[in-house]
Amino acid sequence: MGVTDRVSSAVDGDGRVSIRSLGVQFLVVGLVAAILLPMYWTFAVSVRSRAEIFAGQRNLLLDVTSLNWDNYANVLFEQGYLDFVLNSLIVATGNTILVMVLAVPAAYAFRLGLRGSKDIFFWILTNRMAPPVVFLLPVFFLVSAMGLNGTYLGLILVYCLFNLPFAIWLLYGIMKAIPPEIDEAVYVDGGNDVDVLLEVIIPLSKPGIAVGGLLVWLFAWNHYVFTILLTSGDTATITNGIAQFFTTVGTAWGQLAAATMITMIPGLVLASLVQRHIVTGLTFGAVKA
Amino acid sequence: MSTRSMLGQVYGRTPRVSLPERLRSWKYLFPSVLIFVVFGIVPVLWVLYQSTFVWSAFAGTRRFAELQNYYTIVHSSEHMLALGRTLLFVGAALAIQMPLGLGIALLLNQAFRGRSVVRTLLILPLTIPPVSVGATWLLFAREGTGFVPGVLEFVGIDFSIGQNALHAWTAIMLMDAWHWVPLLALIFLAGLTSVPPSLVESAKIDGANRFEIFWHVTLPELRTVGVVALLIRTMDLFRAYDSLWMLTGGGPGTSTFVLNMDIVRTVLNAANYGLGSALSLFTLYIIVVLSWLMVNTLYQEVLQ
Repeated sequence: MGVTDRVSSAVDGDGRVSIRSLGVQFLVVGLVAAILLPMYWTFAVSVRSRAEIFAGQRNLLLDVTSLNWDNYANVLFEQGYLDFVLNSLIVATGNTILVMVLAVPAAYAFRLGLRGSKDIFFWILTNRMAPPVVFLLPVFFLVSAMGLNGTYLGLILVYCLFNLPFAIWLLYGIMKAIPPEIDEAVYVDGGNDVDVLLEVIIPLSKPGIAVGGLLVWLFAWNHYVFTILLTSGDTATITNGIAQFFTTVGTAWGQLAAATMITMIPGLVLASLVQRHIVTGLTFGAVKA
Repeated sequence: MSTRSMLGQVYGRTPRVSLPERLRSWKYLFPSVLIFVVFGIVPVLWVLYQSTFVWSAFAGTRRFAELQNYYTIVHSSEHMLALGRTLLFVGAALAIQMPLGLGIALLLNQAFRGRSVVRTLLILPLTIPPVSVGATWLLFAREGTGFVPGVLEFVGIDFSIGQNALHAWTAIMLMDAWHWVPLLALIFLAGLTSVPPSLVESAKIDGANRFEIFWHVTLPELRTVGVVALLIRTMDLFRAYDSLWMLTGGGPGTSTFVLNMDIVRTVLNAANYGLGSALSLFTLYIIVVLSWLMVNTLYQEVLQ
């Protein structure tokens, strides 16, 4: 009875409600399971003891009465993982602020119009195309020459290489969908470009700024390759920390899984904050004015 | 119609502009351009310069050798195989992920209970660093600790990413799809919200069936987001390193050894900067040319 209730609540317009809705619900459940299963497995490994993991404990179900939280305690308090989390928070947040502060005016410049804008735009995108490993050494020398090696600022600046093109792209897509007639109203009232940017463009681009900020933050939080050479002991990030669990003497699977679970939390909190903008902010200019 | 010509009409200006007029928009772009020059162009020039030298590994000396490194790369089966694997990986992943992302977006565009929760859930894989994704899937798919081999054991399949190249590639494809298809689905969902409902309604009135509406109304409207999604995914597939390295480390043997691993090994391990630099530029060149072709053949409007 419960199932039929739910099915008929999924309004479908025409008469053939039930089979179609059942099919949709079936697929959605499959999708949710596919997304969650690898995460659930990581969680399961994180709360099993070393002995259980190596004894080939592969049951899907966990024994709720004997969950083992040692891995979390070990990772957080003995491996100094809290420092890594703090470092990553500083770098990711700093990079997000810098990228958005640069990307909003940059996208606005494209909206105002530039000579050769298509070529400039593509050139900007090529910066994101380069695999980080391609730039690893030259960027290392460059950052060292600036005296920024092992500093937060070094990473914050370098991450712009892949985050700034993405943010400009996403924001320009949002901004070009804003009808120019709205700008005109501001100009008629005696406003200039800056007034248009502050009064029209930024308020109307909010979903893009929110989602762009979220994704930029996540890309920065998740980045690994540049941290290999650009961090020192004091500024090591979570991704450095995770890589540490793969040692020459073997992998600490339980701790690795616990660290991975911890790593997800800030991103999930941030995602839930901008949740309602997630879909509307990703149109990349598909909405025609 | 481009923004420029629209503005030109609105303000009664011609597109040809004076110097202060040109600076009008440039000043907003300048700080970003500065970043790209310093951290983008300078390193590329450095790599270009380095790529003209041949190093002798142990003496630590180098000699100028023009394009010899590039010649070495093109004539080395090892590097060309890495290129081939990379192209195969990118192509196969795109062929799997693009339709899947669109399919999921269409599914989540239906009415059902808990829709917004499921949509938010799509962000979940993006909150995990690729290093951890690789580690997670290693836990999930490897012999000994993995769920996948445990299940497949029951049906008599000996799943081993450490020994069977096909199994290793299957694991990579599953991992990458799990990690990135949700973002594609979100982008396609955003595109779907921009399809005017009036278009769909009038097609319905004209007696079009679901498939016809999808093919003739929805799909053309998804062209912009489709090309954007394709470009983003192509770039990021070429960039993929962390997760693949964690999951297979290029193995078994060299069967999943892609260009990025090749670059890291050449530059860091063999201490052959010249060849590594040439390989880096070679890779960058391929990506840029492919993306340029994509934009120009598919949909130039994406850049305008």
